[in-house]
Amino acid sequence: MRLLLVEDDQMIGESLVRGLRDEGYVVDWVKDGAAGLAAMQDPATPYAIAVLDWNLPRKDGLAVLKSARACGVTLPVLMITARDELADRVSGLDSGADDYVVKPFELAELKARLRSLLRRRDGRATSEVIHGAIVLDPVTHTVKLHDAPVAVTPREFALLRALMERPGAVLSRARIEEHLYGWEETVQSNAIEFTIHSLRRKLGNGVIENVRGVGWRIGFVS
Amino acid sequence: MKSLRRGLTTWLCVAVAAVGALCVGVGNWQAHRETQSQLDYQMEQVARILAAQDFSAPRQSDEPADPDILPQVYIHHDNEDDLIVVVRDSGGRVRYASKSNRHVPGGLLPPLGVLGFHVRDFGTGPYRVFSAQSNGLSIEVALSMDVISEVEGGVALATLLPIVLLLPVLALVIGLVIRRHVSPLDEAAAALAQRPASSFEDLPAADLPVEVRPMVEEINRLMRRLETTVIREKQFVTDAAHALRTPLTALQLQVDVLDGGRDAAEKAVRLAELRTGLRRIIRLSEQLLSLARNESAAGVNEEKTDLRQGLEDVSQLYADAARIRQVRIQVELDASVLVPGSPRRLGLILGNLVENAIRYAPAGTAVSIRASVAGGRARIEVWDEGVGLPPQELERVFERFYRAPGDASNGSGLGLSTVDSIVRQLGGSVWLENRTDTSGLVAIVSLPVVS
Repeated sequence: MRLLLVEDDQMIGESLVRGLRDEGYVVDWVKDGAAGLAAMQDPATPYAIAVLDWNLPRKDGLAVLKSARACGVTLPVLMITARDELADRVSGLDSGADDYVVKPFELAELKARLRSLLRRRDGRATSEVIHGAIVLDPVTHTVKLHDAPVAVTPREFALLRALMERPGAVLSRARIEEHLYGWEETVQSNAIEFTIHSLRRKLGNGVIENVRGVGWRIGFVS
Repeated sequence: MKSLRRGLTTWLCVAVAAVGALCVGVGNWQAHRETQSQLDYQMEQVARILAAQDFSAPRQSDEPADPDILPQVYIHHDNEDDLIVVVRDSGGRVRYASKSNRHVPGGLLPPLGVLGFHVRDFGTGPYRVFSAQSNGLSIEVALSMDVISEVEGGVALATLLPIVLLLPVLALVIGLVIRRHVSPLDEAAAALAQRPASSFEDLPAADLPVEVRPMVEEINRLMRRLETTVIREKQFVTDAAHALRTPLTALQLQVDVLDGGRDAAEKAVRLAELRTGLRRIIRLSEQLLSLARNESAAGVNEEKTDLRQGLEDVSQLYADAARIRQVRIQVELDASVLVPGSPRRLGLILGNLVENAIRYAPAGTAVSIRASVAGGRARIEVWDEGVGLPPQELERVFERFYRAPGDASNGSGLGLSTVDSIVRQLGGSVWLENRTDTSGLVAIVSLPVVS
């Protein structure tokens, strides 16, 4: 799950990156509005969601959001704001923010709001992603097979989640890498295969199907 | 408590009462005199009429008096009976005596013996008696003093009654007039009492009497000054609360991610970040405090500080920070002078500037502090070799909580505004310039030199 963070404060940015990575997000962090807008509009990086600070150098969060929405970016955006006046919140939401948190906020709240936005995007009522006998819970970061918990690494979890959230869709290697790695991370050539192998070992061979020459898709485990 | 209305009403009523009393006294005296002379004239008149009569034949006192003899001259009193008249011939025989003689002891007015007006008491109270001689007749006319007093009383009452009746009316009118003229003050007070503490609107002065208007206008001016102060304080509190939000958020998140690190090294990094976050918020609160303290420090500071001492203190204080950042601090001072302000304030000025310089100076460069004296002013310059500032930011960075775009440091945006505030209070000025010899910034403080 790839997440774009636009935040100019060094300390808040560092902690958010850590906290969100712990949660299993792949986080790209930019520190000003112009870079944030460029990242949102970049078709090469499929962000699932963006966290956008309101107060940003070069281009403030609201302007970034307006420009992005004007260009047809439909990405769910969560605003971070220090302004808690109603008028500010209203103008934020009207400009295309999907939700907001007011500084100071707790990481748990931010995470919950992100999950809720993702649920809404997928039209789901709960956070759990269910496909056949596999249940994936982004809140607890657990995977269950036939109601029995299965231990997975964050990378395995992220890969499984990427596939399970689009059942039937075939994801290419590049696409999966985008979901699993941020900008600064280097991807080893066989890392994806290694992760898939590991998942098949834990959940059964049929859990991920190989579509030769195209990529992988989630398989049905009954 | 002094009351304008009560004082005015009381004293005006006292004055009215005093004037009233005077009127009564003078009126009484006047009535007495008028009545006396009127009655005297009438008694003389009666005597004159009698003198013109023919009393050749003596009469009995109980015979009915000739109605023509005593005409209705006595207008103030209906009862003719009050007037006692006796006419005697030269032999002392009574030629005429009015019936009213029966009121006198002995039934007849005795001869008076002297001419003119006199007061005599015949045993039943005093009488005013007029005695005259004419054509060999001796005529005596007498009137009881009781009757005279009664007449006088009537006259006095007629004169004074309107005055006495009008006094309360006058007092009432005075009260109403005073109340009416004082009521704008009451209304202004009521309007003041009703307004909320947050309202600084002017009191309406246009409808007020000229005597009160200057005071109300002064109050309004005071209100405007208060309003400015309150707005500034409010703004400061708002700004401060706002400024605290970012470091607080960082702190919250740093605490939130403490549990998450995978290994001991990662956890140590996160803990170190938390410590940095704490330091930042502590620094911010210190700066807020010193700014607030400085803003409220009114009046000219009479303390003075040795500039050389101040420079040495600050270079020592920041020696560690400079070493960590691998920056050298150089101090150059031409002469030692005294500058205004306490050592603490000079320390705040120099400390903030040096801290900024160290923060933005690349490793391996020098931060130099140069002080010189010329034309009665001390000039302190802090040079760094950082990236400098875009020209349009050189002034804006002095605004409270303002941080230049792209400034990745953890500054609070308060340091320079604190410096500016202190320097201004000390009668100096501070500004920033970009270096021309290399990249970097020079902060320049100009302070007056004191002896």
